[in-house]
Amino acid sequence: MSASDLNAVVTLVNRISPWLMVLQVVPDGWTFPEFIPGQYTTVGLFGTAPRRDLAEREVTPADPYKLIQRAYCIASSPVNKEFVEFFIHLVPHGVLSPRLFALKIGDRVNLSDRITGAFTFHDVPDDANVALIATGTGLAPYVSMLSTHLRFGSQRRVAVLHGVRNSWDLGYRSILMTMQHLRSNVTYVPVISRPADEPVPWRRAIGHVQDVWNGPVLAQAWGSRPTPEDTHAFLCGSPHMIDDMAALLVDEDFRECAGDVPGQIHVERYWFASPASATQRKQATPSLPGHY
Amino acid sequence: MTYVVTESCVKCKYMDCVTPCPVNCFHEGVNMLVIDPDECIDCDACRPVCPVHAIQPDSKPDLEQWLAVNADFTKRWPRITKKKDRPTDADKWAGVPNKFQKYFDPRPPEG
Repeated sequence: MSASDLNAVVTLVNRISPWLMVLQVVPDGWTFPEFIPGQYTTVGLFGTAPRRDLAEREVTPADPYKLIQRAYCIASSPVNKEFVEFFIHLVPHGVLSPRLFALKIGDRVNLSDRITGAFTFHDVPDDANVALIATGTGLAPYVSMLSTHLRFGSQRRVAVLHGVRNSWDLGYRSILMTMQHLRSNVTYVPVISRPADEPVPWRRAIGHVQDVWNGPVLAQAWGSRPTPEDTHAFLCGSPHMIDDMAALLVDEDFRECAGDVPGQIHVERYWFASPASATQRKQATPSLPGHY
Repeated sequence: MTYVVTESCVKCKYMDCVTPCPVNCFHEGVNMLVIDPDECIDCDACRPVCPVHAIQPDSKPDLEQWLAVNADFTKRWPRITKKKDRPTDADKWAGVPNKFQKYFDPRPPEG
């Protein structure tokens, strides 16, 4: 199978908002390899694929013959043999996501058979609690983890802290509420940063995931504040949130996993901010509604 | 944005990075690999698997030299898509300083 093939078929396009979508694809004539929840693969389209109307015009037109591939965390569980799912944010000046947002059911995409990533439960002790902390589509790996690991009767406590701007950006909200209802050890904490825009008063957490971590919610749900002795923390999404949360966790004596050095902080940055000026950092950060 | 292969790769050339790369953007020299900056999609699959931590994202500071090396030698060296056997003395060179200055070989591999 050549990497240049459009080797998978789009079976569902769920547009949650103008800039958020859930994409389901099915490999055509081959089997998606086994993977571990939290890992990622790439999705690709050729430059000939149309861009969505609301995306910004390309300054430099994409090469029509080149496959444009980008890495996305797999949101579906490896036990799901029926389709592979992704939770995708539109980057309006981006090269691939505007093309993904123009997809229809039946269209073909390239789905890589190379799956990788260390953002998994591999180094989490069986009895450790986990705090799954995300902004935006950083939720995707956690959906895969929860829909896999919760099957068995582990008593570990699991908290999902999901930070977005508004409630309609949450994604998977119903599923996570259901998981919380079905499993007494799951705590779901959606947090929004723009309550004034909500159509009905928002009664859950307001601010950012950092505020939830610093507040009383987890201690109330778990009976005590998480500590590095009993909890592993996963951070996924914007580098700004990750840097802030990592600093908070390190202050509480959590340690970041680094290669062979074990730790309790697991990190997956969705993009990198430049180390240069603050202006450059802002430019590196997508500025669409829905980015945090 | 891209990732770059740096100093530690020279003479070690473990090539663990080639296997997870989804876009086959590594190019092979005699005693080092480089990353094609136009192909790299910043997915971070390669960085953690290098035994000598030779790969960095270009968001880290002070990588200008390596950006140039990776860009230049991408043009001169063939693409490598499958990991090969590491040099028999690879472990001996792990952690040795100043390898690029002393030992870097600009030629493409033979054969």
